[in-house]
Amino acid sequence: MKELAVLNSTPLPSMIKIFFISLTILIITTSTVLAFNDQPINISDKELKKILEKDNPNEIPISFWELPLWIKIHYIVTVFLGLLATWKLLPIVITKVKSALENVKKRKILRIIMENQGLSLTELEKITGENRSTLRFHLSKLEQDGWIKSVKRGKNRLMFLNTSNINPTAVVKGKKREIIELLKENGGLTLNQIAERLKLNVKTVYYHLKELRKMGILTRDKEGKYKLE
Amino acid sequence: MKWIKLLAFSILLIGLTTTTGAKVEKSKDIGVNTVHNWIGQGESHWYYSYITSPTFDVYLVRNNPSNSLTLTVYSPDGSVKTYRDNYDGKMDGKILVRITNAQRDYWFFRVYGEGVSGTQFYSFAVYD
Repeated sequence: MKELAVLNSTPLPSMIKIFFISLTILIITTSTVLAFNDQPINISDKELKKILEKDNPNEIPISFWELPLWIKIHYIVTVFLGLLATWKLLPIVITKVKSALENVKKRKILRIIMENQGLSLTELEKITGENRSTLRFHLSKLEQDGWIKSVKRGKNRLMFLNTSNINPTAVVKGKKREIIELLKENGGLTLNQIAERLKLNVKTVYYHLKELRKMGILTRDKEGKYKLE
Repeated sequence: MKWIKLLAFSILLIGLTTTTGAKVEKSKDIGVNTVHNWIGQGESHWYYSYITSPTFDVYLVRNNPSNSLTLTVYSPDGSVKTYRDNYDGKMDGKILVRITNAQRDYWFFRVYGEGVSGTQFYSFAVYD
């Protein structure tokens, strides 16, 4: 127990601590030096029966509380250490299992995002079948770990794989795609120029430009010209 | 406080899982004098025997090798050893151990239902 107390006070990482506790328990429970010799008996069932026939019923049942004190102590300590080991190891096992299950979900979400860049939470919910709060939890973890990048578009937040190879412009569609293509051809253009060339309402163009800026695709310079990043 | 709770729980567990009730009787089917008893999962049965010879054998036989029983031997000088079915390299439902260099005194034995589905019938004998 002294060793356990020393281990508990030592600032070792939990896994090392658990390893030493398990080792101590193992040593305590198995280190008894045997004062007798033993060997297996290899005999046939017929021989065994013959031997047993001559056996006197000299094995007397006894209750635990009638045992010698040292056996009771030995047994209680063994059970206690077994429980202690379970008590110490169980949270680690539970955490590992939980983490493994979470990893499975996280990998599934990540794979879906990889295959469907720019998915919204609602779309992800439909594909995965997971509830919104679970998805939010995993998405926030994935984003924190730098696996994905979320971009707000209108009321939705779109998910992208966060790698340098992924270009968010590749998944932009409709009017936004037209604006990007126009800017690719012409370099920097003002709001009115874009609206004029695409024959769109200025307010509509302004809305899309604002969204594209939020997505980190466009920038606006001092002259009010929009350029691709 | 946690330690005391855990220790109390250990003792309670021991009280719940330690049963006796073994009967010494003559088996009608195989005609040998030995202990026959039933044991359940997690139960412990304790026995003692006065050993007079420096060599003696301990037999723990069960009819269903898929259930697992262990035999723990407590020698008078404080040595403890646990035996399992595979002690002789075979999983045949029998733990047959020969103890040599044994001290003349009371020896204690524990039969434990380590992995028992329902209950398991066993025969236990100490032969010296």
